[in-house]
Amino acid sequence: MAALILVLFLVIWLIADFFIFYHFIRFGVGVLPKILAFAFLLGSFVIFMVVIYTFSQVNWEEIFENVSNFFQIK
Amino acid sequence: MFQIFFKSNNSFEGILQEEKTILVLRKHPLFFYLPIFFFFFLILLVFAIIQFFSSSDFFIKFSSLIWFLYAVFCSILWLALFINLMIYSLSVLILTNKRLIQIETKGLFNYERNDLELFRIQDVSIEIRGILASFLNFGDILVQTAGTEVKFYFSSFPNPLKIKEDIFKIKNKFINYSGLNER
Repeated sequence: MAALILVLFLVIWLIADFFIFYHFIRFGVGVLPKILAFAFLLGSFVIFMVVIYTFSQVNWEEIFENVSNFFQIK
Repeated sequence: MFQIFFKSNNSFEGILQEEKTILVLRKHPLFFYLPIFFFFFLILLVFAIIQFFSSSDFFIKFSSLIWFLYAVFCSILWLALFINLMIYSLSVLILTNKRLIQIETKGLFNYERNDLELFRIQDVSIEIRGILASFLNFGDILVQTAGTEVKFYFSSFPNPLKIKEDIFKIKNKFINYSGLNER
C-alpha cells in the first residue's frame, strides 16, 4: 500500500519535473534557463534518490503497528 | 558541450530573418533570489522543528517515517522553487534590431507574448514606486505607441532609466540605418 502511494507520488512528481525541464529548454532565452535546467535536473535526481532511500529505511509494518498502538493508548 | 552554459546568441522562437537580439532583460535579481531564500528558510525551519522534537517518544518511534516525510516535503518544495525560477527566467524583454518583444510566463503552459516593431514606439516612460524599488533601483517601464493607450507594461525591471535610454538608442540607430521613418 505504502509502496503504491510512493510510486503514484513519484510518477506525478516526475511528470511535473519533466514539464518544468521542458519549459526551460523549449522557451528559454539566453544562458540562465540552461543553467537552471541543469541545476534542476541534478537536484531532482538527488532528491529522487533521497526519497527512495528514506522510503526504504521505513519499516512500514512496524509503523502501522506503532500507529495503531499509539492511537489506542491515547 | 558546456559552452551552452556560458555563451548564447539569444535566439528565440519566431525570430525573423536578419533579426539580431541586442538585449535580453529580466526582472530585478531580487525576484530571483527571494524564492531561493524562502526555499532554504522553509527547509531549515522544518529541519529545526524536527531536531527540536528529536528526543520525544513520538519521534523515536517514527523517526524513519518523519525523515521520509521530510524528504517528500523537500521534493515538493523543490518543484515549487523551480516553478518560480522558471517564471522568472522565462519572463523576458527582448530588444532586437527590429522589434521589442515581451514574453511573460505565468505558469506551466501559460504565457503571453507581445511584439512591437521599433518604429511604432512613440514614448517610453518609467515608474519607480516604493522605498525598496528606489533603493534597489528597479521599476516599471511603460511603452506607448501611436494613440493614447499604453501598449507595453514591464514590471520590476532593474535600472529602468538605462533600459529606456537603450530602447531609444537602438530604435534611433536601427530606424535610421534601415532607412525607415517613423509613421
